[in-house]
Amino acid sequence: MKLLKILHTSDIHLDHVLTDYNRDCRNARRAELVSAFDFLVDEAIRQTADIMLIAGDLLCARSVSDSTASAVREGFRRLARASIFAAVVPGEAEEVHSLAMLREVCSEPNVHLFSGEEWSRVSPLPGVSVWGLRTTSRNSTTNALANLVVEGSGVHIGLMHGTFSGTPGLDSSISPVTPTELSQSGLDYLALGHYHNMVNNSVGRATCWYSGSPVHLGFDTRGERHALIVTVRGDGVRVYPMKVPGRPQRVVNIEVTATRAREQLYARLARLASSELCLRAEVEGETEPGDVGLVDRAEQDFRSRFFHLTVADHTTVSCPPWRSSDLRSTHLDEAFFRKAVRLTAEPGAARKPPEVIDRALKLGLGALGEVDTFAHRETRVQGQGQAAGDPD
Amino acid sequence: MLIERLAFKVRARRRAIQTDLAPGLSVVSVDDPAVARAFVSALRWTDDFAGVLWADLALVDGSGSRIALALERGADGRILRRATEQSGGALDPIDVPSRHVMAFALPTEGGAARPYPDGRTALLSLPLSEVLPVAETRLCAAIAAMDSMVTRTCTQEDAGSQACDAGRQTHRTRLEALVDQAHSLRARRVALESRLSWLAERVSFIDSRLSYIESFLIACAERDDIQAYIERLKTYFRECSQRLLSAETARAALEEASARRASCPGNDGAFEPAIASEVRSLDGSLRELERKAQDCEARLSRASAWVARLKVEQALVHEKIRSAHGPDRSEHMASQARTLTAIILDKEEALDRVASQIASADRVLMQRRLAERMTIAGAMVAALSLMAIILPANVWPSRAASIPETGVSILLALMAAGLLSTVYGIRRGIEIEGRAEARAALDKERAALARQLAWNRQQLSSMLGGHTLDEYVDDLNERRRLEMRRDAIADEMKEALADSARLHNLADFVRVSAVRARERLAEILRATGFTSASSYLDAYERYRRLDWAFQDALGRLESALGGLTEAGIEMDMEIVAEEIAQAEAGRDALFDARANGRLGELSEEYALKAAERERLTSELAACSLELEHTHSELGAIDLWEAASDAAEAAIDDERAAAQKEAAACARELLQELLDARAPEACMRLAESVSEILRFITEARDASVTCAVEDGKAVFFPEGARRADECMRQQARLAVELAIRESADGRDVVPLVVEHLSPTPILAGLLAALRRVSLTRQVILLASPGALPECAPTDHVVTIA
Repeated sequence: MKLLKILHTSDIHLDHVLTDYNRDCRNARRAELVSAFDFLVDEAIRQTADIMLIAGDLLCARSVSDSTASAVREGFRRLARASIFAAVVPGEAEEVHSLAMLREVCSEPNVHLFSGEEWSRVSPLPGVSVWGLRTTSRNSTTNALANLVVEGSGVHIGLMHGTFSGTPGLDSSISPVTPTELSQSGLDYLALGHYHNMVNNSVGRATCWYSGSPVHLGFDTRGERHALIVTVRGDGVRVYPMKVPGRPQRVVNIEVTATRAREQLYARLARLASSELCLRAEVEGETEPGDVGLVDRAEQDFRSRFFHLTVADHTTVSCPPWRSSDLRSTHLDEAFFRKAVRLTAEPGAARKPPEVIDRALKLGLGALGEVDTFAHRETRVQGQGQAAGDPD
Repeated sequence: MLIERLAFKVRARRRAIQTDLAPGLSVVSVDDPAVARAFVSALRWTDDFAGVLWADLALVDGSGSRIALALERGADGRILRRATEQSGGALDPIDVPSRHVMAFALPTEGGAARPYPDGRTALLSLPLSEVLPVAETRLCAAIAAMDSMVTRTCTQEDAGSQACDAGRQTHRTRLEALVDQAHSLRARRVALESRLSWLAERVSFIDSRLSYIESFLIACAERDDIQAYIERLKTYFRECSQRLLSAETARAALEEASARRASCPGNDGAFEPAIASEVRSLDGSLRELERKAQDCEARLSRASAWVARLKVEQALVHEKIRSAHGPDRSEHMASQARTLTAIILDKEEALDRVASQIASADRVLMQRRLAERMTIAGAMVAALSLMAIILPANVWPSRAASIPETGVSILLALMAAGLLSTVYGIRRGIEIEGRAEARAALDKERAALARQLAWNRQQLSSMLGGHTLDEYVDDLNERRRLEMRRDAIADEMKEALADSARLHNLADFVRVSAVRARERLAEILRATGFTSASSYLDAYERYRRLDWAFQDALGRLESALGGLTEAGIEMDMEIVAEEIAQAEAGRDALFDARANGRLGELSEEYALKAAERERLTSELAACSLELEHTHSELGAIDLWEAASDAAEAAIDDERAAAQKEAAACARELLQELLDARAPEACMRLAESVSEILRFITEARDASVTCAVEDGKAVFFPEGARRADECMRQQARLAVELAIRESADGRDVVPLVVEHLSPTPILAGLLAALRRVSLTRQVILLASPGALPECAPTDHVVTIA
């Protein structure tokens, strides 16, 4: 049997809105998405692949521009010139206006778009059948593979955008695929899309992979990005992950302590600083009431030293040392903190979510701090010190 | 702190004012409201300075330092404030004090004095944030900040840019609408492209259908054409038949003419037109030659006679020339003779002239004696007259004989005449003597001329042989005339001889030509068998008429055949008959839509289809145009940018909602805190107010209470005089002082009280201010009409 070589990718989400990134670097990231697609086309040509499988979410139909659509068409034309067949199934990102945009970009003769909600087959090469279906809201709850009846001999490749049961970290469930169904499907290889990280879901001789997204679309994906080179021959199916070059992206947790929060945060960010890096820093731990707004300030201070920087505040405000013994403390921040804590502990339906109370605590402390700062400034100008009864 | 001096310039009045203020109570009376407002602004320092162009303040702070505050306006109208402190004579710049006076207006605003259920009437009702101490004020500010977050619901980023929730919502809606519009345009573009494709296909179908119908209609037209062709063929066939009939008739006539021509002599080729023409020509030539021969004979005889006559005349001329005189006479000689004759004539004339001069001289010489006599007679008369005059009277015999006076005159006249005659005679004598000498010369000249003349005459005579010059010339002319005549006769003789020879030649030529013509004619006649040219020509004419008839019949036959032969025409007829049969077959093979009535149906369908095509073409153009517009509109939208912004706006909205919820929660907590702390703070404030009130009124029972109501601090007067208006005003003053005192610093700042209403200031209030002035500098600004009588300790300043 002649070696059949397949390039499997999915979830490129061309022209994704990329709201995880700053407005300043969003355009560059958008161009990098298109570059990733071009890279995959180039690789398919360079490695003389026979088929390119795109398992959904090739583009974001709601935001895709005509120029990007043209670039995709041009990529498909290049595949055609290299006699490479491309099979595409739609993903949920392409369902806008009945796949109009996807149909448009898949209008090249070497591209087959599976737009039916039932399994259908296309034979790009003798003895090779590619089976695919479109996942919509109507069939998203049904087990798709249970309806697949593979006929005839030769190599049978499945292509779908769905959820493989038990995939770690995959919350949504559309057109679920179970290991049993996979093993009984008769498919030699099932190319899956929807999950943005590469996962091997093979069961026995039935090989099934998520190729994952070849690019980072936000900070919910980690690590290197891949596409898959799948070879099929008489002795079975082999899958070779192929690294897709891209911009370095990291998500780091920064633990701070109440007394040294600023010092710790700034030191860690300084060590990570790189003009090419997209970084999301998750700041955790405790901060003092006076450090409210520290995270925002750190983001502002370090933004220019990264290609992109997001600093997420997951800290909690630490309990200050009590200067009064009861709720009627003359220290406003103390009194406010106690009230907030008491609200957190309040039972019943009126209880607000902890994150809301935490945010309210930070807002309140911030507002009191600003007023305090203003009062300090004013008294300093006057040169008369602080007002009586307000030692803060 | 003490304000020593205030100088400022009122913008509205363009007037600079300087006032010195004293410690204690300074009462400033200002009539002009604009000046009053500027005065207060300059004092307050932190308010609006619209009415002040510049201001200078001289202060003394609690530590005794002198501070100068200066307010100026820059070139761009902006206000510049600076503060300097005098230390050891030097001016050091310092920070501008945030507050150096405590100012408020009376009657106090916000004193909504409404009766309460318990019968009390409130003094003032002020917002808690204005009256509470600093701590509670911070709470109020924090609550206000939370309120601002909740009501304005701006994100932190937006708060900086002052963008409000409504604006962001509008922005998001607009972005989403833009994205939707782009998708609608795309859908429309796809629909248009699909429609255009369908339209193009439909137009193509209609075109093919129209072409099909047109082919039917064309078949009808072709059938008509074939029918017309068949008609033309039949006409031609009929023409051929007619032509054959005409040819048969013409051929019969031709045969008859041919028979007649064959029966005529000369049919064997004798009557060749060339020969006939030659015979006619020879016959005419012979006649002409005979006439010419006769003419030549006559002219030849005349020429012979002319030659003979010339010979006779020539002989006579020769004889005359021989017999003429002086054969040696020559023209040269005649010319010399004429010259000599002219000389002789000249000399004869000169001789005559000399002779006449001699005769004239002779006549003059004959007057010599007369001249002598006149000279002598004149001399004598003159002498006698002179003597008669000169001689004395006694000389004369008698007196009678003496000469009278008149006689003297006569004598004088006679003497003059005698003298004149003598002079004339002398002059004439001299002239005659000159003439006598000239005559002698003339005589010599005459003699010489006479000799020359004789010599010349002798020469002439010998030259002319004794003849005269005229005779000599006449003989010479006669001889010349005869010679000329001789030459003319000789020339005429030559001409006559040449003419005679030419005539001889012509006669010979005519004769020879006649002979040759006769021989040729005889030869022709001999060949044709005719005896004479005329008989030949008559026979020829008869033959020619018959031949013309034959040729005419032949022409009619050829005309009838039209360049063809009867066989050719018959062949054409056969071909045409076959062509007609084929055309009729072709015609019958074509579908005639008219035959089964479908023509109308097809025409109707054609019209409908053509109309539909036109409509579709219009729609096609409209769709193309709309597609262009759609492309253009799509090109104007950056879909990705809009979708990104919309998504970001949605996220911002989520953040804002979370922020709003947190802010509301925080506000709730802060409000609870404030509610818990406000009554105590109000109570403390009321105690402070009561103390101040007791101090300024010196009434031990005077007090003020404060209650919190609807977020406001409400003050109530207490004591026996709580209904007294003066007491109420004093209480208000105390409240204002307490509120501001609590926020005040360590230094006691001057109190500035405005009372710009025309209502008179109560004496009690003035007294209260006077009490306040014991603790701080008090500056009361009031209109002149509102001021009561001042105390001697009051520092009164009047600004007119």
